[in-house]
Amino acid sequence: MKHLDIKSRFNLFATVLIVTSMCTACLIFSISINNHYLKRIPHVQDSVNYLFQASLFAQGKLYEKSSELTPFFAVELLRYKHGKMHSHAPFFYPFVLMFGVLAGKPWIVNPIVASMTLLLVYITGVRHYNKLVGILAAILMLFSPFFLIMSATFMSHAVGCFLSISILLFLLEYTTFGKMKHALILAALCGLLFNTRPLTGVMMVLGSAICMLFPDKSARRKKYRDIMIVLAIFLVFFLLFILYQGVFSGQFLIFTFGSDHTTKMGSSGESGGYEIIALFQKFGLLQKGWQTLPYGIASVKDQIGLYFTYVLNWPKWMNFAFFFIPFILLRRTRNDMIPFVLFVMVILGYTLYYKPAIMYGPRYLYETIPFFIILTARGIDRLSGFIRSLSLTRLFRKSSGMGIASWLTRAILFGFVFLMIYRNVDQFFIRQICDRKTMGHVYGMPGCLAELKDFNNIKPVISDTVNAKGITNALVFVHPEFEHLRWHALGSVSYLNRMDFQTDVIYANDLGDEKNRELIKQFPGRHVFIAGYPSGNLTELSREGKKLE
Amino acid sequence: MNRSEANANRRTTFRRICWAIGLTVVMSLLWFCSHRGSRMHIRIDVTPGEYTFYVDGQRIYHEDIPDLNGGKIGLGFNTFYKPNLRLRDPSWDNIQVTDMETGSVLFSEDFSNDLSQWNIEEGSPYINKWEECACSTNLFMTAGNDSWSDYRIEADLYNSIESTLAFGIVADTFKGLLKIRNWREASAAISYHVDDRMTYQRIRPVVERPIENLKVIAVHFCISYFLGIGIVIAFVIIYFLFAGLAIICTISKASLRKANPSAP
Repeated sequence: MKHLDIKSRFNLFATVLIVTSMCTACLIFSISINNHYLKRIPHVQDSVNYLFQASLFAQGKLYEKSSELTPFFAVELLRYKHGKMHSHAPFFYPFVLMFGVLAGKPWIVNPIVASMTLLLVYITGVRHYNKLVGILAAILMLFSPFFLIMSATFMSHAVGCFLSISILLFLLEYTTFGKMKHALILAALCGLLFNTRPLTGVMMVLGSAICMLFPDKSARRKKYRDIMIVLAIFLVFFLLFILYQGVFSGQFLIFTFGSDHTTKMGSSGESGGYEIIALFQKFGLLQKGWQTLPYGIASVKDQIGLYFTYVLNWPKWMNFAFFFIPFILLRRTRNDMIPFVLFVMVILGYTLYYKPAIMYGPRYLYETIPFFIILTARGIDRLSGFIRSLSLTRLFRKSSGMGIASWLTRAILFGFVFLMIYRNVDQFFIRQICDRKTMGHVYGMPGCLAELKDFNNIKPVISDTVNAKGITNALVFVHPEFEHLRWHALGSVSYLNRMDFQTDVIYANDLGDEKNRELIKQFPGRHVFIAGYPSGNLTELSREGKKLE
Repeated sequence: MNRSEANANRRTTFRRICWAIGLTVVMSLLWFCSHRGSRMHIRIDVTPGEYTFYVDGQRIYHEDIPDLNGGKIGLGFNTFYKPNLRLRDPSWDNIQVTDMETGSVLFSEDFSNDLSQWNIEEGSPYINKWEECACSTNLFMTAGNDSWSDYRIEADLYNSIESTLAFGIVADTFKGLLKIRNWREASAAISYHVDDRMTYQRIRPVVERPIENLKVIAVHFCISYFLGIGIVIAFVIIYFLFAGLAIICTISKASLRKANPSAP
């Protein structure tokens, strides 16, 4: 407790009250968003696949054997080329999601992880800066639209964010106290992050290694040896990554992760994966030289541009203004530089990666939110400290009333910050009509909470219709009514499928009458329906796959 | 504080000031180099039987179409990345169609007024009270008439966040559009039969502008950095205002005491 600057019982009580309230608020907000707007279902291909893999883990399986019928159940990004059905993603996030699947409530995993992230942000702020930074950072995080919305989803970024703040905490611990145990935990966290968001993990371990070169003078020990140990442990997690994907492909240098092209029915299973060499080409390191760098820069430009608008939802340029203040005031410390270095490293990493996927916001930079928030809180704290120090200068030291002037100015500063937070809450969370002049004009980036409704064209119309009509023991083919909704049709219901087909209703892609008949034969005794998406119109079919009059 | 400590403090202060000045100079240079944004000049030459696309004077695509005589001009936005696009966002400007034989201007548009010159084929653009044209869904519009032949289309495109824009010729049986996606890819989108769907033929990425994009990234950080300085200065001014008031109050109080020492 002494490390948390808690000196009395009252302080302890107040701290526990504040932290518990904020974590609970975070949990309630994100669950409410999930429940009310996202309807507790995945809205992105990645999420559908994470959930699929998590349900496999929950059944004690790494993969499901694929057959010629697999395309009926395959959503975009699902891999099944090597005779094994599995998700496109590394193992750690589906593993975490598995606990939610086992509890029957997978939608609660990310909100819990998010509230733990908030707790860690507070602890990091208090332990390595001061109490004000801890509380301010937690408040800013709690009202960040980007953070709250991503916390409500099924995306891996929430766990990535939790790991990134943990990495920052243990990196600060190491550079402050220089203990080996912190370095070991740090390496394990980087490894887990690598198995959640691979490129972020790589950049984070490199950033950590750079920061470890500059420990506190009192903590200096064998830093080069420690860095080598961290990298060695990280390598173990890298091998785990290779081993996991080797289980699927049978060849350890065939990559099955990452998103590539899709087929007509929205499944990329036929593409299988690509060689590890291709990954290096993607980074622009082999054969193509730096050909992809211009794309990477353009992609980062997009992500940064949106990050500047979205992360706190303050006026665009104001979002980052306090971030620079520790550097502007010439009072930066090593603890300010460490989150800054990690922030820059992640941005640098995505400069080498060219895919500009914007979903729920500039998501590739999501893991940098704790660094950004802590530096912003630090900026506010530094400015407040600077104003206070003015009243202690030789010029004013002997004048009465300087303390009052300092207090008034600082009150205006904090009033200004809370005004910005209020503006954000009013504009983003309360208003149901988005202000399109500033936000929400990019696909995949909600301009206000209301835009999360039917986000990414996913809505549970088919399952609602099936439930409303009381249909049981049925096979339902889902048919996209518009070409651009090709994965969405099955994506909106595939989480209800189980690969042992023991569910009351089985949902499958509509692959045409001829192929559909093959699937119908596999399920004798089941009623057959076809459902249009997004209308949700349900029509019963004969066993021959013809519409019944 | 002994002399060596004082010297060390002075050195630290000096070093920090050097860093600050250096950083501000670098940021200022970045700002002055970058703040103007980027512009792309598009040109399409349409002559009977052929058409050619140019970006910033560089010829990027040419095709012979024996049946092509000419046609209207088309302007469109891909809605996937920008479903709620304002026409000002992608900043098309100074669209001009010139007759290549006579040099006369057949059509010009700078979007300063309304869209009365355009036929809206898809989408619902509107002019709002701030005189900005906006569209809520897909947008594809045409202008001119089918009898146009042997002409040059020119337009300026300013940098945008994330959008795909199509610009080109629309004839009865042919669409030839230059698609520019997100400031980094240009491709020719050709359709020989006008129906519900166009057939896109991607040629190659021809516009790569890493320096332009780096400038945009730099501008983002520069503006915030200078705003940070502005915030510091603003709060110092606020402090000095309060401090000034406090000093005035102190002086007034002291002078009052001096004038009337018996006052409580």
